Amino acid sequence: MAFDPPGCAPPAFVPLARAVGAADDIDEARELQSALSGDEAAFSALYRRHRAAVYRFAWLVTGSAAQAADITQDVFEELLSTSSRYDGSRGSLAAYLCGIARFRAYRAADPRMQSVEDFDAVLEAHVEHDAPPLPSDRLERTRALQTLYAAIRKLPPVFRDVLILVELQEMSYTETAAIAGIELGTVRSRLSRAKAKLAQMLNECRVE
Amino acid sequence: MMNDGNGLDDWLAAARSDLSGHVPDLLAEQQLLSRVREVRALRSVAASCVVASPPRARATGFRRRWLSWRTAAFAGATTLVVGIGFGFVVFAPTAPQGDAKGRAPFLALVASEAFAGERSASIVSSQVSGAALADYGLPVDPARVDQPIRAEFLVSPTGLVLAVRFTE
Repeated sequence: MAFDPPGCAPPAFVPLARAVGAADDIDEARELQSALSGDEAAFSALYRRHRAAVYRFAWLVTGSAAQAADITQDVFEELLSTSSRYDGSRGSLAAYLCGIARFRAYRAADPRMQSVEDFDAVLEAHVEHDAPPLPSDRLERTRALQTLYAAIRKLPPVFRDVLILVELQEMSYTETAAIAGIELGTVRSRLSRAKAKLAQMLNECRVE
Repeated sequence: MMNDGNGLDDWLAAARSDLSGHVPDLLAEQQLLSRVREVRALRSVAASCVVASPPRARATGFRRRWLSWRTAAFAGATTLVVGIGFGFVVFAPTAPQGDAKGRAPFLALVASEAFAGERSASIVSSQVSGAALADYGLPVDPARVDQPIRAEFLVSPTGLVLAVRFTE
C-alpha cells in the first residue's frame, strides 16, 4: 500500500494511521456492516481507530477546534447514513473518511464551494528554501508550532492537502492520491512544492 | 516523508508529536453512539411495522376532553383485550423484538411507506399521559389513563413522530 519514492529511505517512525489499532489487519468492511446494523461496539472500534485522523485533518485546515469537532461528527454521521457509499475495494476506510473530511472542511471554509477541484487553478512558483532551526525551548517551540500551523493554513489548498496527508497524517502516497483525486506523480510534485513554500513562509516569519 | 535535510523535517516531526494530542472529546463518541441507536431503531421499526392509527385532532373544552378521555379509556381497554388475544394468535411470530438490553420494541405510528423516505431520526424520551397515547390509537390501561407514562419517540428530522415504545 505504501509508496516510497525512489531513492528515499522508508520512514523511521511507525505511521500513526497504522499504529492506532492496526487497521490493515481488521476486516473493516465487515466491521462497518456490523456498525451500520446497530452494533455499538463495532462502531466504537471504527470511530476510535479513525477519529484522530479525521479530526486533525479538519483542525489543520480550519484552525478551529469547534469546527474540527463538528466536521468529525458529520463525517461519522455520514458514514452511518444509508447514503454512505464506502466501497472497500476502492480504498481504505481511513482514506474514505479523510476524503469526506476534506470536502466538508472546505465547505466549512467557503459554503459556496461545491468542488475541491476548484482549487486546482491555484499555482505557485517552485522556490527552494531552508527552514530556520526549530527552537529547543519548550515555550518557544510551542509558539513555533503555532506559527507552523498558521503557515500551513495559508498554503494554497492543493499543496496543503498533500502536505497534511503525507507529512502530518502519515498516509501513503497512494492513499493521498485517492483522497485528493490526483495522480501519484502529482502528489510527489505538490508535496515538494508545498514543503518549499512552507520553508519560505517560516523564514519570512522569522525575519518579521 | 522525504528527508531533504533543510530543517523543515524537524518542524514537521515536532508537529506530528504535538498533533497526537488532538482528538475529539468523549462526548462526541457518546453522541455518535446515540446516533447508532437511532439508526438501529429506525431500521428495526421499518423492518417490522406494527402500525397504529394515525393521530387525531385533540378535543378542546372540558366536555369534549372528558368525552375524549372516556372514549379513549374504553377504546384502550377494548384494544388491549382484543390486541392481546390477536397478538398472541396472529402477530406474535412476526412482532418486532426488543433490543439486546430487553427494552420494548418500537411501535410504528405511521404507515411503512413513511419510513422509506427517512434517512435519520432522533429518539426523544418523554412522559406522556395515557390519553395522549390513546389519541394515537395505542392501547392504554384505563386504570392508568391519568398517570404519566415513560415513553421514547422516534422522531423524523421534520418532526413527524414515527414510532413509540414504552420504557416502563
